[in-house]
Amino acid sequence: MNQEKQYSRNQSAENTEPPETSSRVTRQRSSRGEHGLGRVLLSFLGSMEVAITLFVVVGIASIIGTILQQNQAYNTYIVKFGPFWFEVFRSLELFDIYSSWWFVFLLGFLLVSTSVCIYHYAPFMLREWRRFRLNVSEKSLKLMHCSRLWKISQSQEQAAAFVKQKLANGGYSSREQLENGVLTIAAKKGAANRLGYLFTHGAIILICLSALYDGNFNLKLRELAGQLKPETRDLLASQVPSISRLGPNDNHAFRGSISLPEGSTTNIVFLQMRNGFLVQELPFNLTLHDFRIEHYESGMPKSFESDIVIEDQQTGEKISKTIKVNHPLLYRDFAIYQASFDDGGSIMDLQIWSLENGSRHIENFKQVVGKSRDIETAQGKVKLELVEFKASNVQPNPKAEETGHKFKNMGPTLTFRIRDSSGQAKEYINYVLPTEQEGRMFFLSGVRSSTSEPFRYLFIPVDEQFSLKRFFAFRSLLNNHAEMERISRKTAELSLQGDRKLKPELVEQMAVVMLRLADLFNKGGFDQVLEDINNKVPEEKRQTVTESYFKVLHTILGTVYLEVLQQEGVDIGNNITPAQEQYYDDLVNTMGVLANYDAPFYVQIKSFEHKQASGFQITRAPGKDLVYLGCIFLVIGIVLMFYVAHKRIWIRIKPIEGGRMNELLVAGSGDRHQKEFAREFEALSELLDREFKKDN
Amino acid sequence: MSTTTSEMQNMFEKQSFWRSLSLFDWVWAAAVLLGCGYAWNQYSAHMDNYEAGILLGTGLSIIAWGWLWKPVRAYSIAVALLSLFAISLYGNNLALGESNFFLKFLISSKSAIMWMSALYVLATVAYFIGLVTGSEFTNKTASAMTWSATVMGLVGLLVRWRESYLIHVDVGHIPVSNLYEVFILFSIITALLYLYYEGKSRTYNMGGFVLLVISSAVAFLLWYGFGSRGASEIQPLVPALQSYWMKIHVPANFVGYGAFALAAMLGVAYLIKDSMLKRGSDGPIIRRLPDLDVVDDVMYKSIALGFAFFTLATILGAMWAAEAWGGYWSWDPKETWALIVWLNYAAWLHLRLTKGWRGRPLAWWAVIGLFVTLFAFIGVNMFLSGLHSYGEL
Repeated sequence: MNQEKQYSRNQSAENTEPPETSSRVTRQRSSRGEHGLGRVLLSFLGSMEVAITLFVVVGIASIIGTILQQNQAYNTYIVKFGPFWFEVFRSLELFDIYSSWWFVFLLGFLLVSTSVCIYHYAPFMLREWRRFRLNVSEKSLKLMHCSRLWKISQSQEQAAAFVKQKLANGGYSSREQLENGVLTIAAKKGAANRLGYLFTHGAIILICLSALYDGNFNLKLRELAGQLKPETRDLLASQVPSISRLGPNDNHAFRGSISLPEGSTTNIVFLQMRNGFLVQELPFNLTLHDFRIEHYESGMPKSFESDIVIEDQQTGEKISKTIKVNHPLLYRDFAIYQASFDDGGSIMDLQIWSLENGSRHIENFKQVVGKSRDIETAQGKVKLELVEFKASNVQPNPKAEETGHKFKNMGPTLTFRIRDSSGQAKEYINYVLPTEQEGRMFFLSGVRSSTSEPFRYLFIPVDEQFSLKRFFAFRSLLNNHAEMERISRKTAELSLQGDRKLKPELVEQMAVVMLRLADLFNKGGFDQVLEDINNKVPEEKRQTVTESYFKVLHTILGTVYLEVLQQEGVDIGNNITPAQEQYYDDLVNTMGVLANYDAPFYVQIKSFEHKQASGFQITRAPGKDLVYLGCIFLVIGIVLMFYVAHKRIWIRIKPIEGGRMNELLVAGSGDRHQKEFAREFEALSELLDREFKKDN
Repeated sequence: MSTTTSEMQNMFEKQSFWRSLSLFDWVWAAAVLLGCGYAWNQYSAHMDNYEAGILLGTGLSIIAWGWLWKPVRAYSIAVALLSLFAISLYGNNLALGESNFFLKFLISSKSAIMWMSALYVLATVAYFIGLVTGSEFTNKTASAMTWSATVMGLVGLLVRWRESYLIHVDVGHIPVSNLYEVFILFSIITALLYLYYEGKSRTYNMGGFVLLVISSAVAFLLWYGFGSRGASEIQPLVPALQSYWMKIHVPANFVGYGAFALAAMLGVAYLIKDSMLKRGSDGPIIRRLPDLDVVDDVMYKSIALGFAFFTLATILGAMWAAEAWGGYWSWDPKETWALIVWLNYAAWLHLRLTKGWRGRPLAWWAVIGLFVTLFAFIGVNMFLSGLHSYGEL
């Protein structure tokens, strides 16, 4: 042992080149470990193999976390992977990998490995940084890759002065030593390279520890101890039991979020934890006074900002600030960020127009977005769920060329779902304002059976008053059997008036056909009429029958339309206006496809009160500044390691030939920059050649 | 070896760095400062303190860059003159881009990028012809084309910057916000890194290999930017990107990506030469490729440079994330992949520096590293969703 130590010290002193491989140094430093087992363990933990393995394992684990979307609702995973794999993945904590026990353990392992590595190398690096290594043997200098010998006539002092000045010019600092008449000058440059090692590895430890301190590790520990339990039910914050609550001074670091409607105040945030949440109480009250959002011409959000006030619960101190994305409010060690926006419970004034056969039901009420309401229909109760209100909808303008505007705002929309008693739902999107299509105005309503489908749109024409009254009056008349009997008889008489030979039975027959066709049309649109013809008429006659049936259908529908106009009090005289004629066409077209719209009622938004909510992220990260300090160390360290070349030059001046001449030995090494050093050495040799006239 | 020493200043003869600067160096530095002063004078009302800092920092960095690598001076002058010419032609009328001859065919952003694309592809071909024939003239032509392409690329970006403000002052932003723009940046930076090593090592024969990766980037750029996706249109910024951080985070990242790409292509050249030598073939082409240990050394230097910039960029990104998203680290896919790339090259450097690995295994690793980097760079945007979902495919 003693001998080994002795040997290694000599090795280190006579080392021709600073050691590049770790093994030698490890062996040399291993004397630090006092017991055999400890030594083995330490050298294992500090070994490069362990470090590289950890790099790879952490890398692979991280990759898994990017492929498998993290922190989704558990149901999403069950649907995706099935119950079996869901259980497997859940027990491996794959849905929240980065705060899983095993991932934190891996990072901890990396931390220990880096620490041991520093423990091993730091003394060596510090020594390398400070020492000049004066006691290097002549033999080892001669063995160096860059090494040359001159025989000179100048005195030792003269030669030394010359060399020292040149070395200083080259940026080298040096020390000298006279021993047994031999002068040794040891020079070094860029020794700070050795500090780079300490900076980088120390930085990693500092960053990891600070980040760990900012993570939710303490919450996991408390959960394990049974002091905390994430809430998984959909509860109001005030109803969440205390086992899922954290007091204002109960948690040194967190990242929570909350959506706050305009004009309201909160003193909590929600912390997401796997499939549940915790309520984090804050030591201040946060009030949102106003939320504003601006859009680009394309409708994309340009900026959103919130006017907030925070009030310290203890001191009562108030701070007002407008925050927006990239401009958070920093208060004590809390930070409040503008994260998102949402509907804050806009109030919709709705009118329900029944679309069911035989029903003329109309209902009027106010409802808040995000809430649902039961509505009676012929098929029983259905739920009307208001999903989303959008104050504007910008779409590419189809008339961009003519108008010069690339985009067009289609106005506000309401998205809602109608859910039947069996739980099946269809989604609808209704425009609040009528939209122009080919010069006429329509109310648009989209429908789809699942969110993955595109919407199919129904166009309901508006009357001269921009209302839906005429459309629904027409429908309601079609639904009124008694009135329809009267109208069909009247129409049949009118249409057969010219033909005097015809008998009254024929009029009766015609009226029945008209009534039946109108009824078919009312139930299922044009499709229903065609289906009826296909079922009853042999193929060869179908074409002629279809033509005459549609003629008859339009006659009766036309009369119904005129009746509706008369009810409205329109003086139709002999002729209706072209606009009224056009309305009839649109009306019949819409009615004809209404069966595909598949809704028990139409929802008209009469007016609305828009309320917005601002999404905040509130965080407390006391380790942040230390992380940044670590980052600065890391950058300094990397620059030192890669851009400061550590070089050493030794000069040995030995009197020869009885002191008449001197032997000048110059040798050096460039560590990781041997090529560059070789050029430098050549440059120095050239100067020495010139000075000492190539005596050798 | 003696030629190299006599050519370079003998570092042991006392001469300060400042005295080694020529008159041109000083005139050029003054021009850079004047430019910064003009920009400050024109736009300081719209800049916050950070942006003022970035302007000053950029000016000083360009000066330092030009003093340490002399061709930068001519390069920056060419870029500045062409860009200013284009901007002055535009005036305040963006529509001139379609009617003015110079803009339409030469230096509107789109035309400049087209020129860049064409020149890079031609340069790639020329470098390979130079490698096969050994013709010095062809090599010099290839090098000149690469320089010209790099000029046009930067002109394209700078003019695009101006064009974005001409669309609307609200839309204006530095053109590093989507994949189309950053691919141009990537091409320019990779080319500049290569040109630096070309100048240092005075060998043209690596050019084809490096330009191959740039040509691939150009192919992607043309498909992505000018194909049916129309990504070359200037889009306004989402609120999260409206920050001075973008001006430093993105370019720093792309110095990293560019350096890693350069290292990977050197790795390819290394592997080709090495396997040919092992098979005993020693044709003129193989001989023209630089010595294996030279390639190995440049590969190391390139990865070290990339690693330094990538670390810096990731740190800047973390600081930006802390300001925009409420946390310096969120395990967002892009962040996570940045960590993976970082770990990958950290392992590479450890093996080289402490384990003394050299040659083939590290060359292979550098090549594989390019794929890891590429995934972090585009794969994440293509396949994974997250906070960094700008410029999706």
